Amino acid sequence: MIRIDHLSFAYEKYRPVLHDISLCLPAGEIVSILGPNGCGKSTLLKIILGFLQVKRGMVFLDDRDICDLTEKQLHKRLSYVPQMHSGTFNYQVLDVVLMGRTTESPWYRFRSEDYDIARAALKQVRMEHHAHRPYLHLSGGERQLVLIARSLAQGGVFFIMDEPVSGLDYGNQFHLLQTLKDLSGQGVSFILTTHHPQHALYLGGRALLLKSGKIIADGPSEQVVTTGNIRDLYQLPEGFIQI
Amino acid sequence: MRKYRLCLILLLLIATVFITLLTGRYPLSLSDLGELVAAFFTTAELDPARREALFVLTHIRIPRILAAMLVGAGLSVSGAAYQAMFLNPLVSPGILGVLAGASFGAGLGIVVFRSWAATQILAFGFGCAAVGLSLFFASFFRRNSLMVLLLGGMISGSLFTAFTSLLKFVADPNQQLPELVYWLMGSFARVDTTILLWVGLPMVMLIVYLCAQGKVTNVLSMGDEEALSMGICVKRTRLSIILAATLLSAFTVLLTGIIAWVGLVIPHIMRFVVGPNNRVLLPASAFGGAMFMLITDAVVRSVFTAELPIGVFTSLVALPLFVLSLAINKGGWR
Repeated sequence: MIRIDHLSFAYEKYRPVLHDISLCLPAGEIVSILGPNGCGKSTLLKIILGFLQVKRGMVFLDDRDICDLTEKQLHKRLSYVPQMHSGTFNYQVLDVVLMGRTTESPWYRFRSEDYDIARAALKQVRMEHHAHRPYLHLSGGERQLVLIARSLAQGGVFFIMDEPVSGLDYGNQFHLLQTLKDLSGQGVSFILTTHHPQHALYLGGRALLLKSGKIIADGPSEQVVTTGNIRDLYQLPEGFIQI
Repeated sequence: MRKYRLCLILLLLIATVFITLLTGRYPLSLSDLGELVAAFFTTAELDPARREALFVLTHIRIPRILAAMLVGAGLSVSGAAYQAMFLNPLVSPGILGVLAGASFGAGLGIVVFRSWAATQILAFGFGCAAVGLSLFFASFFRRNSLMVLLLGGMISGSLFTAFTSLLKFVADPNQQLPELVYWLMGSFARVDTTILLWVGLPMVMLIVYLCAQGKVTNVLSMGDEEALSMGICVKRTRLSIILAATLLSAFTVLLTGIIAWVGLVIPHIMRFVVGPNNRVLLPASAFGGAMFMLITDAVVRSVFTAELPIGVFTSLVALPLFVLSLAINKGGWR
Protein backbone atom coordinates (compact mmCIF):
# COMPACT_ATOMS: atom_id res chain seq x y z
CA MET A 1 0.00 0.00 0.00
CA ILE A 2 1.19 3.49 -0.82
CA ARG A 3 0.03 6.23 1.57
CA ILE A 4 0.60 9.93 0.98
CA ASP A 5 0.12 12.32 3.90
CA HIS A 6 -0.31 16.08 3.46
CA LEU A 7 2.15 16.28 0.61
CA SER A 8 3.06 19.67 -0.87
CA PHE A 9 5.75 20.20 -3.43
CA ALA A 10 7.32 23.07 -5.36
CA TYR A 11 10.21 23.11 -7.84
CA GLU A 12 10.73 26.83 -7.22
CA LYS A 13 9.79 28.82 -4.13
CA TYR A 14 6.26 30.31 -4.11
CA ARG A 15 5.27 28.24 -7.15
CA PRO A 16 3.71 25.17 -5.61
CA VAL A 17 2.93 22.28 -7.92
CA LEU A 18 1.14 20.07 -5.40
CA HIS A 19 -0.97 21.32 -2.47
CA ASP A 20 -1.61 19.24 0.61
CA ILE A 21 -2.35 15.93 -1.07
CA SER A 22 -3.42 12.94 0.99
CA LEU A 23 -4.04 9.64 -0.72
CA CYS A 24 -4.13 5.92 -0.09
CA LEU A 25 -3.33 3.54 -2.92
CA PRO A 26 -3.87 -0.09 -1.93
CA ALA A 27 -2.22 -2.89 -3.91
CA GLY A 28 -4.12 -4.61 -6.71
CA GLU A 29 -6.03 -1.78 -8.34
CA ILE A 30 -5.66 0.36 -11.45
CA VAL A 31 -5.53 4.07 -10.68
CA SER A 32 -5.82 6.53 -13.57
CA ILE A 33 -4.78 10.08 -12.85
CA LEU A 34 -6.35 12.70 -15.12
CA GLY A 35 -5.69 16.41 -15.29
CA PRO A 36 -4.59 19.25 -17.56
CA ASN A 37 -0.94 19.78 -18.51
CA GLY A 38 1.07 21.18 -15.63
CA CYS A 39 -1.39 20.12 -12.95
CA GLY A 40 1.24 18.03 -11.17
CA LYS A 41 0.46 14.51 -12.44
CA SER A 42 4.01 13.63 -13.40
CA THR A 43 5.41 15.34 -10.31
CA LEU A 44 3.19 13.19 -8.11
CA LEU A 45 4.46 10.04 -9.84
CA LYS A 46 8.08 11.17 -9.51
CA ILE A 47 7.62 11.78 -5.80
CA ILE A 48 6.14 8.33 -5.28
CA LEU A 49 9.10 6.88 -7.18
CA GLY A 50 11.54 8.76 -4.95
CA PHE A 51 13.04 10.78 -7.84
CA LEU A 52 12.26 14.07 -6.09
CA GLN A 53 13.11 15.07 -2.55
CA VAL A 54 9.98 15.72 -0.46
CA LYS A 55 10.18 18.64 1.96
CA ARG A 56 6.58 18.91 3.20
CA GLY A 57 4.48 15.85 3.82
CA MET A 58 5.30 12.15 3.84
CA VAL A 59 5.05 9.21 1.48
CA PHE A 60 4.80 5.73 2.93
CA LEU A 61 5.25 2.40 1.21
CA ASP A 62 3.78 -0.37 3.34
CA ASP A 63 3.92 1.95 6.37
CA ARG A 64 7.58 2.80 5.94
CA ASP A 65 8.67 6.30 4.98
CA ILE A 66 10.18 6.07 1.47
CA CYS A 67 13.00 8.39 2.56
CA ASP A 68 14.19 5.66 4.93
CA LEU A 69 14.27 2.98 2.24
CA THR A 70 17.29 2.31 0.07
CA GLU A 71 16.90 2.50 -3.71
CA LYS A 72 16.97 -1.26 -3.83
CA GLN A 73 14.30 -1.76 -1.18
CA LEU A 74 12.01 0.88 -2.69
CA HIS A 75 12.26 -0.33 -6.25
CA LYS A 76 11.82 -3.94 -5.38
CA ARG A 77 8.17 -2.99 -4.79
CA LEU A 78 7.77 -0.02 -7.11
CA SER A 79 8.73 -0.06 -10.72
CA TYR A 80 8.63 2.63 -13.30
CA VAL A 81 7.60 2.19 -16.91
CA PRO A 82 8.92 5.30 -18.64
CA GLN A 83 7.09 7.17 -21.34
CA MET A 84 7.90 6.35 -24.99
CA HIS A 85 11.62 6.66 -25.09
CA SER A 86 14.23 5.92 -27.64
CA GLY A 87 17.44 5.07 -25.79
CA THR A 88 20.93 5.46 -27.20
CA PHE A 89 22.30 1.95 -27.60
CA ASN A 90 20.49 -0.73 -29.51
CA TYR A 91 20.36 -3.54 -26.97
CA GLN A 92 18.60 -6.83 -27.62
CA VAL A 93 15.07 -7.03 -26.25
CA LEU A 94 16.03 -9.82 -23.85
CA ASP A 95 18.95 -7.75 -22.53
CA VAL A 96 16.60 -4.82 -21.89
CA VAL A 97 14.28 -7.07 -19.90
CA LEU A 98 17.23 -8.57 -17.99
CA MET A 99 18.16 -5.06 -16.81
CA GLY A 100 15.27 -5.40 -14.38
CA ARG A 101 17.18 -8.27 -12.72
CA THR A 102 20.38 -6.30 -12.16
CA THR A 103 20.05 -5.61 -8.43
CA GLU A 104 18.89 -9.16 -7.79
CA SER A 105 21.98 -10.78 -9.27
CA PRO A 106 25.03 -8.73 -8.43
CA TRP A 107 27.62 -10.95 -10.11
CA TYR A 108 29.10 -10.53 -13.55
CA ARG A 109 26.71 -12.97 -15.16
CA PHE A 110 22.98 -13.43 -14.84
CA ARG A 111 21.89 -16.75 -13.36
CA SER A 112 19.81 -19.09 -15.48
CA GLU A 113 16.78 -18.33 -13.30
CA ASP A 114 17.13 -14.65 -14.22
CA TYR A 115 16.88 -15.66 -17.87
CA ASP A 116 13.83 -17.78 -17.05
CA ILE A 117 12.15 -14.87 -15.24
CA ALA A 118 12.92 -12.49 -18.13
CA ARG A 119 11.52 -14.90 -20.72
CA ALA A 120 8.43 -15.53 -18.60
CA ALA A 121 7.89 -11.75 -18.32
CA LEU A 122 8.16 -11.38 -22.09
CA LYS A 123 5.65 -14.18 -22.47
CA GLN A 124 3.20 -12.40 -20.15
CA VAL A 125 3.09 -9.45 -22.53
CA ARG A 126 3.11 -11.78 -25.57
CA MET A 127 6.48 -10.56 -26.80
CA GLU A 128 8.44 -13.81 -26.41
CA HIS A 129 9.03 -14.07 -30.17
CA HIS A 130 10.84 -10.75 -30.18
CA ALA A 131 13.41 -11.71 -27.50
CA HIS A 132 16.41 -11.47 -29.82
CA ARG A 133 15.36 -8.47 -31.88
CA PRO A 134 17.14 -5.11 -31.47
CA TYR A 135 15.10 -2.97 -29.10
CA LEU A 136 15.31 0.25 -31.12
CA HIS A 137 13.88 -1.49 -34.20
CA LEU A 138 10.62 -2.18 -32.39
CA SER A 139 7.54 0.01 -32.80
CA GLY A 140 6.43 2.33 -30.00
CA GLY A 141 3.76 -0.05 -28.77
CA GLU A 142 6.15 -3.01 -28.74
CA ARG A 143 8.72 -0.99 -26.79
CA GLN A 144 6.11 -0.15 -24.16
CA LEU A 145 5.34 -3.86 -23.82
CA VAL A 146 9.04 -4.67 -23.45
CA LEU A 147 9.40 -2.03 -20.73
CA ILE A 148 6.37 -3.50 -18.95
CA ALA A 149 8.05 -6.91 -19.20
CA ARG A 150 11.17 -5.39 -17.65
CA SER A 151 9.10 -4.14 -14.73
CA LEU A 152 7.50 -7.57 -14.40
CA ALA A 153 10.96 -9.14 -14.32
CA GLN A 154 11.92 -6.67 -11.63
CA GLY A 155 9.14 -8.23 -9.55
CA GLY A 156 7.43 -5.01 -8.50
CA VAL A 157 3.95 -4.80 -7.02
CA PHE A 158 3.20 -1.23 -8.08
CA PHE A 159 3.76 -0.21 -11.69
CA ILE A 160 3.99 3.49 -12.21
CA MET A 161 3.43 4.69 -15.77
CA ASP A 162 3.53 8.23 -17.05
CA GLU A 163 1.20 8.53 -20.04
CA PRO A 164 1.76 4.97 -21.26
CA VAL A 165 -0.30 5.35 -24.43
CA SER A 166 1.17 8.62 -25.68
CA GLY A 167 2.55 8.21 -29.17
CA LEU A 168 0.74 4.93 -29.86
CA ASP A 169 -1.79 4.56 -32.66
CA TYR A 170 -5.48 4.09 -31.87
CA GLY A 171 -5.43 0.31 -32.04
CA ASN A 172 -2.21 -0.08 -30.09
CA GLN A 173 -3.53 2.18 -27.34
CA PHE A 174 -6.32 -0.27 -26.60
CA HIS A 175 -4.07 -3.27 -27.05
CA LEU A 176 -1.79 -1.83 -24.37
CA LEU A 177 -4.70 -0.99 -22.04
CA GLN A 178 -6.04 -4.51 -22.47
CA THR A 179 -2.63 -5.89 -21.49
CA LEU A 180 -2.68 -3.72 -18.36
CA LYS A 181 -6.17 -5.00 -17.51
CA ASP A 182 -5.09 -8.61 -17.98
CA LEU A 183 -2.01 -8.09 -15.80
CA SER A 184 -3.99 -6.36 -13.07
CA GLY A 185 -6.11 -9.50 -12.92
CA GLN A 186 -2.86 -11.28 -11.99
CA GLY A 187 -2.27 -9.06 -8.95
CA VAL A 188 -0.21 -6.18 -10.37
CA SER A 189 -1.34 -2.66 -9.55
CA PHE A 190 -0.95 0.22 -11.97
CA ILE A 191 -0.76 3.91 -11.20
CA LEU A 192 -0.84 5.78 -14.47
CA THR A 193 -1.54 9.20 -15.90
CA THR A 194 -3.60 9.67 -19.01
CA HIS A 195 -5.10 12.42 -21.14
CA HIS A 196 -8.02 10.31 -22.33
CA PRO A 197 -11.11 10.05 -20.12
CA GLN A 198 -12.24 7.08 -22.24
CA HIS A 199 -9.10 5.17 -21.25
CA ALA A 200 -9.86 5.61 -17.57
CA LEU A 201 -13.34 4.26 -18.20
CA TYR A 202 -12.01 1.40 -20.31
CA LEU A 203 -9.55 0.40 -17.59
CA GLY A 204 -12.18 0.64 -14.86
CA GLY A 205 -10.71 0.72 -11.39
CA ARG A 206 -10.22 4.07 -9.76
CA ALA A 207 -9.79 7.56 -11.18
CA LEU A 208 -8.23 10.66 -9.65
CA LEU A 209 -8.83 14.10 -11.09
CA LEU A 210 -6.00 16.52 -10.38
CA LYS A 211 -6.30 20.24 -11.02
CA SER A 212 -3.69 22.87 -10.10
CA GLY A 213 -2.05 20.52 -7.65
CA LYS A 214 -5.24 19.52 -5.80
CA ILE A 215 -7.37 16.40 -6.00
CA ILE A 216 -10.84 17.48 -7.09
CA ALA A 217 -12.39 14.05 -7.42
CA ASP A 218 -11.44 10.53 -6.39
CA GLY A 219 -13.43 7.33 -6.72
CA PRO A 220 -14.45 4.49 -9.05
CA SER A 221 -13.87 5.52 -12.66
CA GLU A 222 -17.48 5.25 -13.79
CA GLN A 223 -18.56 7.63 -11.00
CA VAL A 224 -15.69 10.12 -11.32
CA VAL A 225 -15.24 10.35 -15.09
CA THR A 226 -18.48 12.10 -15.94
CA THR A 227 -19.22 14.74 -18.53
CA GLY A 228 -19.62 17.39 -15.84
CA ASN A 229 -16.38 16.55 -14.03
CA ILE A 230 -14.31 16.41 -17.19
CA ARG A 231 -15.72 19.70 -18.46
CA ASP A 232 -14.84 21.21 -15.12
CA LEU A 233 -11.36 19.72 -15.13
CA TYR A 234 -10.35 21.00 -18.55
CA GLN A 235 -12.62 24.09 -18.52
CA LEU A 236 -14.44 23.13 -21.68
CA PRO A 237 -17.57 24.89 -22.97
CA GLU A 238 -20.93 23.25 -22.40
CA GLY A 239 -21.93 20.63 -24.96
CA PHE A 240 -18.34 20.22 -26.15
CA ILE A 241 -17.97 16.62 -25.03
CA GLN A 242 -20.25 13.80 -24.12
CA ILE A 243 -18.92 10.85 -22.17
CA MET B 1 27.10 -16.77 -30.29
CA ARG B 2 28.40 -13.48 -28.94
CA LYS B 3 30.30 -15.25 -26.18
CA TYR B 4 32.26 -17.16 -28.82
CA ARG B 5 33.12 -13.89 -30.50
CA LEU B 6 34.65 -12.66 -27.25
CA CYS B 7 36.74 -15.86 -26.99
CA LEU B 8 37.76 -15.44 -30.62
CA ILE B 9 38.96 -11.89 -29.96
CA LEU B 10 40.95 -13.13 -26.96
CA LEU B 11 42.57 -15.84 -29.08
CA LEU B 12 43.42 -13.29 -31.75
CA LEU B 13 44.97 -11.08 -29.07
CA ILE B 14 47.15 -13.92 -27.79
CA ALA B 15 48.25 -14.70 -31.35
CA THR B 16 49.07 -11.03 -31.89
CA VAL B 17 51.20 -10.98 -28.75
CA PHE B 18 53.27 -13.90 -30.10
CA ILE B 19 53.66 -12.36 -33.52
CA THR B 20 54.71 -9.00 -32.11
CA LEU B 21 57.22 -10.75 -29.84
CA LEU B 22 58.95 -12.03 -32.98
CA THR B 23 58.82 -8.91 -35.12
CA GLY B 24 60.91 -5.77 -34.97
CA ARG B 25 64.46 -4.70 -35.75
CA TYR B 26 65.69 -8.03 -34.40
CA PRO B 27 63.38 -10.54 -36.06
CA LEU B 28 63.17 -13.86 -34.23
CA SER B 29 61.74 -17.20 -35.24
CA LEU B 30 59.43 -19.23 -33.06
CA SER B 31 62.21 -21.73 -32.26
CA ASP B 32 64.53 -18.85 -31.30
CA LEU B 33 61.85 -17.61 -28.93
CA GLY B 34 61.47 -21.05 -27.32
CA GLU B 35 65.24 -21.33 -26.89
CA LEU B 36 65.48 -17.86 -25.34
CA VAL B 37 62.62 -18.51 -22.94
CA ALA B 38 64.21 -21.79 -21.90
CA ALA B 39 67.56 -20.03 -21.43
CA PHE B 40 65.92 -17.30 -19.39
CA PHE B 41 64.56 -19.80 -16.90
CA THR B 42 67.50 -22.23 -16.75
CA THR B 43 70.27 -19.60 -16.94
CA ALA B 44 72.02 -21.76 -19.51
CA GLU B 45 75.07 -20.31 -21.30
CA LEU B 46 74.30 -18.41 -24.48
CA ASP B 47 76.49 -17.19 -27.31
CA PRO B 48 76.85 -13.38 -27.52
CA ALA B 49 74.36 -12.95 -30.37
CA ARG B 50 71.78 -14.90 -28.43
CA ARG B 51 72.51 -12.94 -25.31
CA GLU B 52 71.89 -9.74 -27.20
CA ALA B 53 68.59 -11.07 -28.53
CA LEU B 54 67.54 -12.06 -25.01
CA PHE B 55 68.40 -8.57 -23.79
CA VAL B 56 66.32 -7.00 -26.54
CA LEU B 57 63.45 -9.32 -25.70
CA THR B 58 63.37 -8.78 -21.94
CA HIS B 59 64.44 -5.14 -21.72
CA ILE B 60 62.85 -3.60 -24.78
CA ARG B 61 60.33 -5.75 -26.54
CA ILE B 62 58.41 -7.26 -23.62
CA PRO B 63 58.03 -4.00 -21.66
CA ARG B 64 56.93 -2.31 -24.84
CA ILE B 65 54.39 -5.00 -25.64
CA LEU B 66 53.02 -4.88 -22.10
CA ALA B 67 52.80 -1.09 -22.24
CA ALA B 68 51.07 -1.17 -25.62
CA MET B 69 48.54 -3.69 -24.35
CA LEU B 70 47.84 -1.78 -21.15
CA VAL B 71 47.49 1.55 -22.91
CA GLY B 72 45.30 0.18 -25.72
CA ALA B 73 43.09 -1.80 -23.36
CA GLY B 74 42.91 1.02 -20.83
CA LEU B 75 41.95 3.72 -23.32
CA SER B 76 39.40 1.53 -25.10
CA VAL B 77 37.66 0.16 -22.03
CA SER B 78 37.48 3.59 -20.43
CA GLY B 79 36.17 5.00 -23.71
CA ALA B 80 33.43 2.36 -23.83
CA ALA B 81 32.53 3.02 -20.19
CA TYR B 82 32.45 6.79 -20.74
CA GLN B 83 30.20 6.37 -23.78
CA ALA B 84 27.68 4.39 -21.74
CA MET B 85 27.91 6.73 -18.76
CA PHE B 86 27.16 9.78 -20.88
CA LEU B 87 24.54 8.05 -23.05
CA ASN B 88 26.51 9.23 -26.03
CA PRO B 89 28.51 7.08 -28.44
CA LEU B 90 30.62 10.04 -29.54
CA VAL B 91 32.28 10.57 -26.17
CA SER B 92 35.97 9.75 -25.74
CA PRO B 93 38.10 9.39 -22.58
CA GLY B 94 39.24 13.00 -22.84
CA ILE B 95 35.71 14.34 -22.39
CA LEU B 96 36.17 15.44 -18.78
CA GLY B 97 39.49 17.10 -19.44
CA VAL B 98 41.84 14.34 -18.29
CA LEU B 99 44.05 14.54 -21.39
CA ALA B 100 44.08 18.36 -21.46
CA GLY B 101 45.02 18.43 -17.79
CA ALA B 102 47.74 15.83 -18.31
CA SER B 103 49.18 17.82 -21.22
CA PHE B 104 49.39 20.89 -19.05
CA GLY B 105 51.01 18.92 -16.22
CA ALA B 106 53.59 17.52 -18.61
CA GLY B 107 54.24 20.99 -20.00
CA LEU B 108 54.78 22.29 -16.50
CA GLY B 109 57.23 19.48 -15.79
CA ILE B 110 59.19 20.08 -18.99
CA VAL B 111 59.21 23.89 -19.02
CA VAL B 112 59.26 24.87 -15.37
CA PHE B 113 60.79 21.94 -13.47
CA ARG B 114 62.88 20.52 -16.32
CA SER B 115 62.76 17.08 -14.84
CA TRP B 116 61.53 13.85 -16.31
CA ALA B 117 60.11 12.53 -13.04
CA ALA B 118 58.25 15.78 -12.39
CA THR B 119 56.80 15.59 -15.90
CA GLN B 120 55.30 12.16 -15.28
CA ILE B 121 53.97 12.95 -11.82
CA LEU B 122 52.55 16.34 -12.82
CA ALA B 123 50.91 14.86 -15.93
CA PHE B 124 49.14 12.29 -13.82
CA GLY B 125 48.24 14.78 -11.09
CA PHE B 126 46.89 17.45 -13.41
CA GLY B 127 44.96 14.88 -15.45
CA CYS B 128 43.08 13.92 -12.29
CA ALA B 129 42.83 17.57 -11.19
CA ALA B 130 41.18 18.57 -14.48
CA VAL B 131 38.49 15.93 -14.01
CA GLY B 132 38.09 17.08 -10.40
CA LEU B 133 37.57 20.59 -11.71
CA SER B 134 34.84 19.52 -14.13
CA LEU B 135 33.10 17.55 -11.36
CA PHE B 136 33.40 20.66 -9.19
CA PHE B 137 31.75 22.81 -11.88
CA ALA B 138 29.00 20.24 -12.25
CA SER B 139 28.34 20.12 -8.50
CA PHE B 140 26.94 23.66 -8.58
CA PHE B 141 23.93 22.50 -10.55
CA ARG B 142 21.52 19.81 -9.48
CA ARG B 143 19.30 19.23 -12.45
CA ASN B 144 20.30 17.37 -15.58
CA SER B 145 23.65 16.55 -14.06
CA LEU B 146 24.97 14.69 -17.12
CA MET B 147 24.70 17.67 -19.44
CA VAL B 148 26.25 19.91 -16.79
CA LEU B 149 29.07 17.42 -16.33
CA LEU B 150 29.81 17.52 -20.07
CA LEU B 151 29.84 21.32 -19.93
CA GLY B 152 32.14 21.17 -16.90
CA GLY B 153 34.45 18.90 -18.89
CA MET B 154 34.46 21.36 -21.79
CA ILE B 155 35.30 24.26 -19.48
CA SER B 156 38.06 22.46 -17.66
CA GLY B 157 39.46 20.97 -20.90
CA SER B 158 39.57 24.35 -22.64
CA LEU B 159 41.10 25.98 -19.59
CA PHE B 160 43.99 23.51 -19.48
CA THR B 161 44.43 23.63 -23.25
CA ALA B 162 44.83 27.39 -22.95
CA PHE B 163 47.37 26.96 -20.16
CA THR B 164 49.29 24.45 -22.31
CA SER B 165 49.40 26.93 -25.20
CA LEU B 166 50.74 29.54 -22.80
CA LEU B 167 53.48 27.13 -21.72
CA LYS B 168 54.37 26.42 -25.37
CA PHE B 169 54.65 30.15 -25.89
CA VAL B 170 57.07 30.70 -23.02
CA ALA B 171 59.06 27.47 -23.56
CA ASP B 172 62.63 27.63 -24.84
CA PRO B 173 62.13 26.98 -28.58
CA ASN B 174 65.36 25.04 -29.02
CA GLN B 175 64.98 22.42 -26.38
CA GLN B 176 61.83 22.55 -24.32
CA LEU B 177 59.33 23.24 -27.06
CA PRO B 178 60.23 20.22 -29.23
CA GLU B 179 60.30 18.04 -26.15
CA LEU B 180 56.82 19.17 -25.18
CA VAL B 181 55.50 18.75 -28.70
CA TYR B 182 56.90 15.21 -28.91
CA TRP B 183 55.41 14.41 -25.54
CA LEU B 184 52.01 15.53 -26.77
CA MET B 185 52.24 13.19 -29.75
CA GLY B 186 52.62 10.16 -27.54
CA SER B 187 55.36 7.57 -27.85
CA PHE B 188 56.33 4.13 -26.60
CA ALA B 189 60.00 5.06 -26.65
CA ARG B 190 59.79 6.50 -23.17
CA VAL B 191 58.29 3.38 -21.63
CA ASP B 192 60.56 2.25 -18.87
CA THR B 193 60.38 -0.82 -16.73
CA THR B 194 60.17 0.99 -13.40
CA ILE B 195 57.09 2.98 -14.32
CA LEU B 196 55.59 -0.09 -15.92
CA LEU B 197 56.05 -2.00 -12.68
CA TRP B 198 54.47 0.83 -10.69
CA VAL B 199 51.42 1.45 -12.83
CA GLY B 200 50.95 -2.02 -14.35
CA LEU B 201 49.12 -3.59 -11.46
CA PRO B 202 46.72 -0.68 -10.75
CA MET B 203 45.95 -0.49 -14.46
CA VAL B 204 45.17 -4.18 -14.70
CA MET B 205 42.96 -3.86 -11.63
CA LEU B 206 41.07 -0.90 -13.08
CA ILE B 207 40.61 -2.65 -16.43
CA VAL B 208 39.25 -5.74 -14.70
CA TYR B 209 37.00 -3.58 -12.50
CA LEU B 210 35.53 -1.77 -15.52
CA CYS B 211 35.09 -4.98 -17.50
CA ALA B 212 33.09 -6.43 -14.60
CA GLN B 213 30.66 -3.47 -14.51
CA GLY B 214 28.79 -4.51 -17.66
CA LYS B 215 25.37 -5.10 -16.13
CA VAL B 216 25.29 -1.87 -14.15
CA THR B 217 26.72 0.02 -17.11
CA ASN B 218 23.86 -1.24 -19.28
CA VAL B 219 21.30 0.03 -16.79
CA LEU B 220 23.03 3.39 -16.34
CA SER B 221 23.14 3.86 -20.11
CA MET B 222 19.32 4.07 -20.09
CA GLY B 223 19.38 7.36 -18.16
CA ASP B 224 19.28 8.43 -14.53
CA GLU B 225 15.59 8.01 -13.77
CA GLU B 226 15.26 4.59 -15.35
CA ALA B 227 18.38 3.35 -13.62
CA LEU B 228 17.13 4.70 -10.31
CA SER B 229 13.79 2.96 -10.84
CA MET B 230 15.65 -0.31 -11.27
CA GLY B 231 17.13 0.03 -7.81
CA ILE B 232 20.60 1.24 -8.75
CA CYS B 233 22.25 3.86 -6.57
CA VAL B 234 22.82 6.05 -9.62
CA LYS B 235 25.02 8.85 -8.30
CA ARG B 236 27.52 6.68 -6.48
CA THR B 237 27.74 4.02 -9.18
CA ARG B 238 28.08 6.49 -12.05
CA LEU B 239 30.72 8.46 -10.19
CA SER B 240 32.78 5.40 -9.31
CA ILE B 241 32.76 4.17 -12.92
CA ILE B 242 33.69 7.65 -14.21
CA LEU B 243 36.50 7.91 -11.66
CA ALA B 244 37.86 4.46 -12.54
CA ALA B 245 37.83 5.33 -16.25
CA THR B 246 39.51 8.66 -15.55
CA LEU B 247 42.28 7.14 -13.42
CA LEU B 248 42.86 4.57 -16.12
CA SER B 249 43.25 7.23 -18.82
CA ALA B 250 45.57 9.22 -16.55
CA PHE B 251 47.75 6.10 -16.14
CA THR B 252 47.95 5.62 -19.90
CA VAL B 253 49.22 9.20 -20.17
CA LEU B 254 51.88 8.37 -17.61
CA LEU B 255 53.12 5.52 -19.79
CA THR B 256 52.99 6.99 -23.29
CA GLY B 257 51.72 10.56 -23.35
CA ILE B 258 48.66 11.56 -25.31
CA ILE B 259 47.20 8.97 -27.67
CA ALA B 260 44.05 10.20 -29.32
CA TRP B 261 41.14 8.45 -31.04
CA VAL B 262 41.73 4.92 -29.73
CA GLY B 263 39.25 5.41 -26.87
CA LEU B 264 36.55 6.55 -29.25
CA VAL B 265 37.09 4.30 -32.25
CA ILE B 266 37.76 0.88 -30.73
CA PRO B 267 34.48 0.75 -28.75
CA HIS B 268 32.67 1.66 -31.98
CA ILE B 269 34.29 -1.12 -33.95
CA MET B 270 33.70 -3.56 -31.11
CA ARG B 271 30.05 -2.55 -30.86
CA PHE B 272 29.84 -3.53 -34.49
CA VAL B 273 31.55 -6.87 -33.88
CA VAL B 274 29.99 -8.05 -30.60
CA GLY B 275 26.89 -5.85 -30.23
CA PRO B 276 26.07 -3.07 -27.78
CA ASN B 277 25.61 -5.16 -24.63
CA ASN B 278 28.24 -3.79 -22.24
CA ARG B 279 28.72 -7.13 -20.50
CA VAL B 280 30.45 -8.28 -23.67
CA LEU B 281 31.41 -4.91 -25.12
CA LEU B 282 33.61 -3.78 -22.22
CA PRO B 283 35.93 -6.83 -22.21
CA ALA B 284 35.83 -6.93 -26.01
CA SER B 285 36.96 -3.29 -26.12
CA ALA B 286 39.81 -4.06 -23.73
CA PHE B 287 41.02 -6.99 -25.87
CA GLY B 288 40.44 -5.14 -29.12
CA GLY B 289 42.19 -2.00 -27.91
CA ALA B 290 45.20 -4.01 -26.76
CA MET B 291 45.34 -5.77 -30.11
CA PHE B 292 44.98 -2.56 -32.10
CA MET B 293 47.79 -0.87 -30.19
CA LEU B 294 50.09 -3.92 -30.49
CA ILE B 295 49.61 -4.13 -34.23
CA THR B 296 50.05 -0.41 -34.81
CA ASP B 297 53.18 -0.32 -32.69
CA ALA B 298 54.63 -3.43 -34.32
CA VAL B 299 54.10 -1.98 -37.77
CA VAL B 300 55.59 1.37 -36.80
CA ARG B 301 58.70 -0.09 -35.20
CA SER B 302 59.44 -2.63 -37.92
CA VAL B 303 58.73 -0.43 -40.94
CA PHE B 304 60.46 2.75 -39.86
CA THR B 305 64.00 2.93 -38.55
CA ALA B 306 63.46 6.10 -36.55
CA GLU B 307 61.28 6.13 -33.44
CA LEU B 308 58.06 7.73 -34.63
CA PRO B 309 55.34 9.12 -32.39
CA ILE B 310 52.69 6.43 -31.97
CA GLY B 311 49.91 8.94 -31.26
CA VAL B 312 50.08 10.17 -34.85
CA PHE B 313 49.89 6.66 -36.27
CA THR B 314 46.99 5.53 -34.10
CA SER B 315 45.00 8.48 -35.44
CA LEU B 316 46.03 7.72 -39.02
CA VAL B 317 44.98 4.08 -38.67
CA ALA B 318 41.98 4.55 -36.39
CA LEU B 319 40.22 7.21 -38.44
CA PRO B 320 39.80 5.16 -41.63
CA LEU B 321 38.65 2.23 -39.48
CA PHE B 322 36.13 4.54 -37.82
CA VAL B 323 34.78 5.71 -41.16
CA LEU B 324 34.64 2.12 -42.37
CA SER B 325 32.73 0.92 -39.30
CA LEU B 326 30.24 3.77 -39.70
CA ALA B 327 29.80 2.92 -43.37
CA ILE B 328 29.26 -0.79 -42.70
CA ASN B 329 26.87 0.10 -39.89
CA LYS B 330 24.72 1.90 -42.47
CA GLY B 331 25.78 5.33 -41.34
CA GLY B 332 24.78 4.92 -37.72
CA TRP B 333 26.32 3.86 -34.43
CA ARG B 334 23.47 1.54 -33.56
